[in-house]
Amino acid sequence: MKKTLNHWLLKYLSPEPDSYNKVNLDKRFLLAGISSLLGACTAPQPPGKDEDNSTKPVEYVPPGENVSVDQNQGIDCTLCAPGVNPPIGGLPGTPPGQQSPPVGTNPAPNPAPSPAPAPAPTPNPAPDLSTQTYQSLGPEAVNIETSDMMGNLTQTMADGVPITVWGFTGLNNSSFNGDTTRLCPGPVIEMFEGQATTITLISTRPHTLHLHGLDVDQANDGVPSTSGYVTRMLPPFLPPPPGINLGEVFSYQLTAPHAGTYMYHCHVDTVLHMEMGMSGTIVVRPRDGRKDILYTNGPAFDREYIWQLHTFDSKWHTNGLPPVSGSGYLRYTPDYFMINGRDGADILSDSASSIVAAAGQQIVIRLVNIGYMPAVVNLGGILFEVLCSDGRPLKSPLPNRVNDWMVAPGERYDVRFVMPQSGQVMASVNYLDIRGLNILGSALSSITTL
Amino acid sequence: MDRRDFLKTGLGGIASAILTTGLTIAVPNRAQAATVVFNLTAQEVFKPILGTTSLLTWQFVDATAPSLGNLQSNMVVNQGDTVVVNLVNNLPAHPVSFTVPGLLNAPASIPPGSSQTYEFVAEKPGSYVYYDDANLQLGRAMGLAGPLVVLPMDNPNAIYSNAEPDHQFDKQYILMFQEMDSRINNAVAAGLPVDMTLFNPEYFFVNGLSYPDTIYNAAGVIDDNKVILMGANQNIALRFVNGGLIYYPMHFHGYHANVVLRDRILEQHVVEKDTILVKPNECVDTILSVGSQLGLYPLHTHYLPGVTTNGKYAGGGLLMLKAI
Repeated sequence: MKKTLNHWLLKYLSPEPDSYNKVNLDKRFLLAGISSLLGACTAPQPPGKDEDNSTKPVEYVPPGENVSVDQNQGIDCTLCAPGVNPPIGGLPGTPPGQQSPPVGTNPAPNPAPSPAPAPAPTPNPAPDLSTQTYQSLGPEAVNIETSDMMGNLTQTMADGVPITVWGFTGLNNSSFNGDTTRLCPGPVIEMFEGQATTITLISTRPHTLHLHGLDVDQANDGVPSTSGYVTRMLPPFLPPPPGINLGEVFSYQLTAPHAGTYMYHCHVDTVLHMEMGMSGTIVVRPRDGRKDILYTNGPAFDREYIWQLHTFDSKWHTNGLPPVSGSGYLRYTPDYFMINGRDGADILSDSASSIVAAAGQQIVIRLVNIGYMPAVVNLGGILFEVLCSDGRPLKSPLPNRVNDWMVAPGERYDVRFVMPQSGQVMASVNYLDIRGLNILGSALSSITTL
Repeated sequence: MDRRDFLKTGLGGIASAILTTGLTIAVPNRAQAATVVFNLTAQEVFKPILGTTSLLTWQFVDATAPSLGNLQSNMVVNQGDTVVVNLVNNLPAHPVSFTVPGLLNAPASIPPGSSQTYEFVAEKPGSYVYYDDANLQLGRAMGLAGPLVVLPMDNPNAIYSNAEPDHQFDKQYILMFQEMDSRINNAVAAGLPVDMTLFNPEYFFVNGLSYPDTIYNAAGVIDDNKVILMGANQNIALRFVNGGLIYYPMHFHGYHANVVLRDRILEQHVVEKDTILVKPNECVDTILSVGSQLGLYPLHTHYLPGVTTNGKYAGGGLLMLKAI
């Protein structure tokens, strides 16, 4: 609960683009007031704790045209007790074509809600200030650092096993969702169409940033043999990567022409470094800076999630030193199946991965396969639209919404669905073997209507 | 005059060269359909891996086809051609057949020492894969597969007939994927039973080559005959043919490419991609528009173990786009 509230407050303190010039201090105080009302929360994040050590004003983002207003505005639903659905007055009628969640197929982790209604949430007339459910770095200069390669950092899985990981962090250890126990995936980088952006990598060990899908030129492509690698020095026991040693700091320059979802990952000894956790997501916003549409004049949404799809093969993380790919890393056989670096029950308690929203809201999930296995996504029977892929709208819309969709390694798809009228369904990500024949394992998340 | 003579004399002019990592095939532009004959032998070939290990493989060998480490005979024909394949089975202990999904299905299989003629008409333009189906997946695991490309009659520099300008190209490449699990090859070599459910490859090939041979020559210099060589503002057709058993999500550095055909069907929806999935037996014809972006950019599967050889990065099917 604690980390959820920190995340919720931090997202209002993250830097906003220069195109906004409104400062809305009232909302910030209101947020602080709510947090203390709810009791079991830490103090609000003090100013100055965001990524570049300055206090940015809280900006009001007006909702898009077809966005329904969240009756539960401003309240992060994971703060409610599990299994309890606070009543919402004045629900709109079921939109045409809306499918109600299947009954009895996917048992929810918690029993059915109690018949006694929960206390109504404190009314908050202010609209939701941000659609996104994760932290992000950017759009001004983004600074990324690499973490230790010597086996000192771990991420604990749902079974309690600590797995050695390597990661990217923003300055001040900022991470994917403000939770510093989660090193992998790395922080989300946010950019704007047409805006020249600098992403600076600081690394004392050999690493690069490959900006996957952003079609940057060779010098900024992050491939060691064609554009060098970033390192302070080479420890004597590590063979040098191909290419030129760029030094400890390198700034990648790019301008993204297309709004959409992209990835970044290290491209040194890539098969090993990416498995160890050196990857993350880049979101490019439309030119006008709106955060509630996928692209200019494109589909709108009320809430937005990122699901980074990947697995771990724990043998690869315990292979000892020196950490260089070779026969010790033969035959990738995953044994942990994740969304956003969490597996098992940890997904259900992760506010960035388990979806909670009001009935009728439009929800976008940016599906990003940062792993090695084909992933089939199913939203518990909720049909969804597949709208964009690899940073481009589909050339023509699919004729129907779908029940399942495969995301292959390296691909991204932006999908959208409407929240059911009530209840909870279990979404699943089934990871297939590379032949596409068998399901090796699954990651389950929940979609809960407020 | 058979097709090989056409190539030697250049009669009718060379319309476009199909290049496959170090291998060039000239294709004449004929005014009308012809009968094209291929003589293939299914035989054992010991394939050196990284110059040391040698794997027993099975290959369809065409004695007249140019070969630079390639595993297969590259078949390129015109729409409407009658294709005749004379196959001889020189495998010591296994049957073999010749199937081309979309053109020739449920073919007869033949025992060792026998021969069989397969005949079909190349009706629909696009890329196809041919392979042995008499041993279920083992034929492909051992290397019995190859690409077949049908060029439209109206324009050999287009993906299909009456193609829009975006689906025409200046150059075309065939890129065929295969992979091998040495435990399978070694079991076949020793005459032991084979369990294909365990197939989990550690060797990966494009047109029979693994990195660095997919990019560099023997002296370690980037070889312009091996890279995907492109000019500014050109359209480059990349025909992905999956002759193997695993998924290949092919990721482009530097560019997005457009999916034109998936198994000869025009793709209407998921078109502009930086990562294009090619499933086993699937053929995906794509066009990359180079524009003004020059330089060196890798092209490789994002199943990153496929960019290794025996676990070591870099290896496997790592390709390079070179725009000059």
